[in-house]
Amino acid sequence: MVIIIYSAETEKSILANMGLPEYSYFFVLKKFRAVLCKFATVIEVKNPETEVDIIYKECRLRGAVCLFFSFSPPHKTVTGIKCLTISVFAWEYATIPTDTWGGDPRNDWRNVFRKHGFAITHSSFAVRAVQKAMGNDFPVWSIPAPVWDDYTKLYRKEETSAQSKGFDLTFKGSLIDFNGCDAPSVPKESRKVFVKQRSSSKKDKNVSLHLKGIIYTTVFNPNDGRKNWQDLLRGFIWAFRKLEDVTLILKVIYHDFEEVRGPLADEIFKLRPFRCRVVIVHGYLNDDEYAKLVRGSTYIVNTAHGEGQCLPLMEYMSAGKPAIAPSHSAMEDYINKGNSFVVKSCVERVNWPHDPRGVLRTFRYRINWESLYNAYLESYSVAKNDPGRYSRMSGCAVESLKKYCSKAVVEERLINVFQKCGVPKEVILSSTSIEGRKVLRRILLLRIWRFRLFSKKSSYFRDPVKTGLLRLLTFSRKCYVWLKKKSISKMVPLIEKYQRGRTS
Amino acid sequence: MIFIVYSEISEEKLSGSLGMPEYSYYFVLRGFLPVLRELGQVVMVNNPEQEVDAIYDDCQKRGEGCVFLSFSPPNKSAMGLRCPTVCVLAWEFDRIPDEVWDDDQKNDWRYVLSNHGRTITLSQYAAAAVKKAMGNDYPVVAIPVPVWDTFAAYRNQSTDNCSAEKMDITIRGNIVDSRNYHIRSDSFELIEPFESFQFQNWSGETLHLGFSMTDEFSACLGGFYRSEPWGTWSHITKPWILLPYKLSGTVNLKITARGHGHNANKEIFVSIGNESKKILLRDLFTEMAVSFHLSKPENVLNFSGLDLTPIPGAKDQRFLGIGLRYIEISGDPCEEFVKVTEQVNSPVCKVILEGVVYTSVFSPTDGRKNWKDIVTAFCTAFQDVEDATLVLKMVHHSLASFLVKLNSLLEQLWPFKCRVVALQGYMDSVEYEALISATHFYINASKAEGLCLPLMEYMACCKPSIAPCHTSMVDYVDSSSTLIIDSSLEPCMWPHDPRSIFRSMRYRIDWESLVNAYRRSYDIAKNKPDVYRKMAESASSQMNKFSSNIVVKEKLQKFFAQELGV
Repeated sequence: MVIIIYSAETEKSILANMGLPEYSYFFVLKKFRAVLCKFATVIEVKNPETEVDIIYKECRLRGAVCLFFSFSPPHKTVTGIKCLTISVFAWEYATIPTDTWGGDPRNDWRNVFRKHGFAITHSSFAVRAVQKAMGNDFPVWSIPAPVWDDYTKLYRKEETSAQSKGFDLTFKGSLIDFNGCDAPSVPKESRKVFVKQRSSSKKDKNVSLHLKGIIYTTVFNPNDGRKNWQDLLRGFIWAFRKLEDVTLILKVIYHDFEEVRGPLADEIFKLRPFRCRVVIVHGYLNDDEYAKLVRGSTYIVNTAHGEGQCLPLMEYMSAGKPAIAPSHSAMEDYINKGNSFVVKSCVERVNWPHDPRGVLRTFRYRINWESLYNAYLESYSVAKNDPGRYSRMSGCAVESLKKYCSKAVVEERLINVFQKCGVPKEVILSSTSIEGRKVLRRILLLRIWRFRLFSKKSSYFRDPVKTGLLRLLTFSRKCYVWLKKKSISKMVPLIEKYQRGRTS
Repeated sequence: MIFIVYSEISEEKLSGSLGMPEYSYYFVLRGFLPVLRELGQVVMVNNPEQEVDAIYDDCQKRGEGCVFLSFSPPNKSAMGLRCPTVCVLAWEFDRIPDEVWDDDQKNDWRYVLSNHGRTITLSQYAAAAVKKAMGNDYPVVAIPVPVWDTFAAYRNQSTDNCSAEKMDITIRGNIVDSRNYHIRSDSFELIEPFESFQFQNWSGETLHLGFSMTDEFSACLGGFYRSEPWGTWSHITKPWILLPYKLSGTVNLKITARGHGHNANKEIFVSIGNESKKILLRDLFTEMAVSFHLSKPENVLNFSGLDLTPIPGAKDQRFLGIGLRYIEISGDPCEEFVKVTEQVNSPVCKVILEGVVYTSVFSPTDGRKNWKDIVTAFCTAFQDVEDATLVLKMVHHSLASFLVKLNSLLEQLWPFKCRVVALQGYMDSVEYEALISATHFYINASKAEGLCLPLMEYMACCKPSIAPCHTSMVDYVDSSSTLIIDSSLEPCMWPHDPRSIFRSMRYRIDWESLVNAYRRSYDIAKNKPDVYRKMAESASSQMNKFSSNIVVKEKLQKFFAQELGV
């Protein structure tokens, strides 16, 4: 079996587009890829409209089954191609878009689903929303990103502690450390200086941070209104105004820190004076450092209006961190009283986030701030005085997330999808030899590259380079290996050099 | 006994101050007058610092008791007078201002209140907030505005608690009715805009209409996005502007605007009435001049010919047409219409209300009133219900204070079968009582209330309500008369504190429970007359106990006796 995958962002573009709409599809795709590789030869494409069917045809010729998983919202997923297409999408609203606007029928998701015939999302909540519009028999599955197996490795039952003895975090990036803010009135003019004194000195240099005590962590994109970080901050500082041994880490996901630091700092200023610690962290934490932060955190916090699945929450909980979070949208699948201090919420009417008309056609969740505030207080008291309950909650978090997003669960559901798509059982379970897969993968990649070179739209190569490269690709195995190691764009000068060498 | 009374806004200034901060203190003062007059002689002053002590000294000479009741927040109350001074304080938050800002000691209310030595609040909630700051032994008493007796005549007339099937409501001002709009997913039009609004005829003065966030009240827009710092974008192919006057004669427009995407360097149409002119939009802001010659008055400026085809890959995915910054209107109106202005001032408008009617009375610029929730929940609960009507009595001198927001809500909530009616203007007491009579439920979804006089008035007229039970409403709202909306605390700023710091608490409305309350109330009004009658009776008996002249008089007497030995 061959599975083609796609997301709008790639490894190369993601850094520059972090925090922009749909950036998180890339991370979901990455998590899925590993599991999909177990079942099939996985090929990533850049341009689904043209490239998917090329692979599909090649597969048909060779008698291989071929499916296309597009990690993109349905209105941005290609329709009308020959290959069976499934949109793998995140959704956090009570109703799916069922209007057409801007002349694009895909904006009415029903049109897309009808053409595809199948869909995959990440929560039972989203499954309900789809089936409400498509009928209860429409085949749509809730398959979350398989996060659990990697992060549960960080969980050690016997070492579970609600209070960190202290650890250092070193990373490339920036931070602002409000270690208390006792100035009752900082005039607006001197605020810049005030913030600067608390900021890391240079941009994107290695910075380090010592953390200890009771640590609440949240990971979010401040430009995403759904995250509702204002409530999160207000609740935290209101609850811990007079305490020094408690810290909130705001791990900010956004490509441009300059754009978001101002609003964050302003909001913190509105809550002065306080003695608790609030640290804004922006930058890349490598795996070890991120693991340290996960392990050192006492709780993970979420106050969103809606979540498609919430990768950070899933990661921390898989690692045994209890949450302060509402149990709505996707979170209803794994947030419960056993593993979380559940924040109350109710529905309110809003627009679909990408609908330019702004009409109020759907619902999201309004957070009950008072219950958030109480959850902070209760969680603090548990961390301080009730190690038994903390450790039970921690264990429960691990178990709940295992049920929600372990590889085993995801694999089982994928098998379900494959069966429904008509993939023969023996194909699903056949363990094609690794060598055989490699050969197939090579052939398919060659087909794509050939297409990219031939296509008039392609701007990768100038014409003479094109012909040269094509000859090489087709005839030289060595060149294929070469290409595999390096990126195509880097190849160009090499090929040119090679060509010059030949002609001279 | 002499009661010297003062509020910053007086009867004369009222009509222009409706909806402004502290306008409601005047209504509080007016509400207390009948009871104060029963207790003694009332003297109104306009300048407490200069007038109060003179009157006081006079009284002293005569050996007559005298007290100054300042119907204003402590930071605006006179201090250090010889005359005993009592602030009558409307307050809806859990903490009174207890910090100094702008170098004004009076901003710390404790300073003023301890100088006065005592205070009256309108609610227990506010009294508790005062005690929290001033100490438990500080003399503060909660006394509501007496409302009950004001509506004695009304209660005697109406024998049945249930509202009439059809009612004519009149008002001198404007009526905005959702049934006067033609709304579709790509269009938003007013039916008969000329007849619907009571604007004055233009007398020829140059008009300046700005469309940025800061120019809020100059004109009403239809089919535009929310204002931005520079101006505003249209989002339908035929957006329009409701002009503040009826234009006639020669009208010269200078329009500063730009086009987006396909509309840059495109000719589009500007029209008033039947006259249509072309303008060429550029992709940068340019000033364009057009002239019209209108034989009869017109009050809507239309744009058409905009192309909203999306641009693939554009960063801003909104449907952007014309970006409007500024319009200047000058010229020469028709003589015959200018004169009309002087003759007819605010003619009477009429609307017929039928079905189940919900009413709310508030200032649309007061964010605490949370009227967006009132409207969105109403249209959600009654999306498919034709005979449910929401009446919003807007307490504000300007139509533009709410029409832009209401327009965009109606557009965004479409489709719905229920009806939303906004009333703006002056109603005399007969007209106001007719509106009460047409109403089935009063609706309040505020984040905080200092007292909420309209809710009390409706309850005094045997109207059940939908309301949260928080802040001052705790004193008189319970489940026997009211369908209670859930609410929970959230931090807020003191409304007059310029420092933007969170210092206090207000309430966040549970929107879902508001929708449920609407649905339940409709069912009660339609199908459960007994339940409705019980709620109505309970509402009025509650008000009788809470805000009758006798009750208020006793409380005042007791307080003055304790505090001033009167």
